[in-house]
Amino acid sequence: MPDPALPFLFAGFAVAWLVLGGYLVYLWRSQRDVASRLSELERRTAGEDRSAQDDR
Amino acid sequence: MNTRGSTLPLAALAAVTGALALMFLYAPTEGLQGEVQRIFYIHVPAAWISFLAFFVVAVASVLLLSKRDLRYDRIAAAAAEAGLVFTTIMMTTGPIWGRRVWGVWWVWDARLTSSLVLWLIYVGYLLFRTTTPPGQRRARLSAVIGIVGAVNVPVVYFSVFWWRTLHPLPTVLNPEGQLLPAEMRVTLYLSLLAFLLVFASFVVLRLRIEDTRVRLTALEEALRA
Amino acid sequence: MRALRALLWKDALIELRSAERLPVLALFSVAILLTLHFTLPPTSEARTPAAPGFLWAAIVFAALLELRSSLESERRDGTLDGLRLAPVDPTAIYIGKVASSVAVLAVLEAALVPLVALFFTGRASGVAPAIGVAVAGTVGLVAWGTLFAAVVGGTRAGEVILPVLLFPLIVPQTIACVRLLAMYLTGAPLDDPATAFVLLAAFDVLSLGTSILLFDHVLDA
Repeated sequence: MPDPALPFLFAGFAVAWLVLGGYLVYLWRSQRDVASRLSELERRTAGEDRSAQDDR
Repeated sequence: MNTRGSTLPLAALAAVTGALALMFLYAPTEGLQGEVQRIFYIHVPAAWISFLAFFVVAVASVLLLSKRDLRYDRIAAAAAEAGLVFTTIMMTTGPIWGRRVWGVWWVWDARLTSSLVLWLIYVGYLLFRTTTPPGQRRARLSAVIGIVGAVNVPVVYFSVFWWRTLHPLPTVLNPEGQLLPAEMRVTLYLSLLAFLLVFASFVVLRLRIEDTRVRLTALEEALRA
Repeated sequence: MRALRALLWKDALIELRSAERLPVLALFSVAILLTLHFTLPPTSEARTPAAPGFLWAAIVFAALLELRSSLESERRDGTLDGLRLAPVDPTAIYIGKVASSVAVLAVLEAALVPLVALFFTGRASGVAPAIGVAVAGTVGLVAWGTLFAAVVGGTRAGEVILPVLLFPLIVPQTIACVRLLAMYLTGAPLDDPATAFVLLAAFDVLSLGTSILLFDHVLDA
């Protein structure tokens, strides 16, 4: 006879994982946003270096 | 994502795996409550970390006001975000467990009420930050909120406790009541370690992102000039 | 000390000048009480026991309104910036604001408490001490409220955030105050009124003290 409380146990763990996972997703998205801004910045500075060389 | 500085998250992952194993394979089934009691190994460490996190927020806030270094503001904010995560876990696993064990989803006793207040303070703190432009001003005002919040949580606990002694609740099963058997204690401690490492990882990761973001914004401004 | 007196005088003048605030607060409170009245079924026996709670709820909402108006009038007159630039002790500013807000709300409560007795409990006894209790609780309310009103500022976002920040803080005041109000207005038995008074006073002191300590930082920001 399975313990009738198992759905509660499952729900408890599921909710905890969901919350943790949600925050991890948020961190991952922030990391990606920062990375894209970084590469954008590198792209722009590289472009300016190139045009500076052309001017010379 | 570079692998430098990944020892902390890896340690956290190892601890979490170990704790999960212990929770389900090693810890004995509790006599009165049955299997559902295993939520205890999630709920209790989550609660402790919630309060630890707010302690960090409070200390960082005091340091910010006295030293004025924005780094403390970033630490407070990172700790507050992670703290909200664990407080939410506490506030969700608690009622789920309570519904099963006590028959009710919620009681207005001192512990639950002050936990709800803690959760609301976290939310208010972070909400204020999202609606205020970043900088020294936001840092100092957030610090004020953090310090007042920290002062208030024990006060709320005490006042509800006093109120409750006038209207005692029917005796409620105390989940941590008697001395725990050794296997349960070990599981609890490993779980607590796991939660602590996860909390630390969250804060470190969040700080790294924020530090980079701050430097990026400065560089972008400089380029625009 | 002279600065404090000057500030109190300035705030008193502002209160007199914006005397229209009091009627608005009164109307607002009555509207709240009216709404709360209709939350209960017509022949409800809960009307009397609920009265102290309803009264306190009306006071809390009125206080929110008063806190915003107080900050708003400072902003409109540009006095807050003037105060910030002048070498005035922030503590004096804070006490001035708290005193003037409490004064306005005290006048409101002197009318509101008898009104609640009339509409909800039908008892005249205990009204006078109940007014005192209400004002004592209001001090704590306004103490935290003035600090946080300054923190959130006059923005529309601030308007929404102020209650979110403030309400968890006033739980202790609420508990002590409503217990005492119940004792006076409805005759509800209270085992240890002395402790309740001490607690109410202690919370007031705590909220005032902490806010005074932190108010400089808020103005500096």
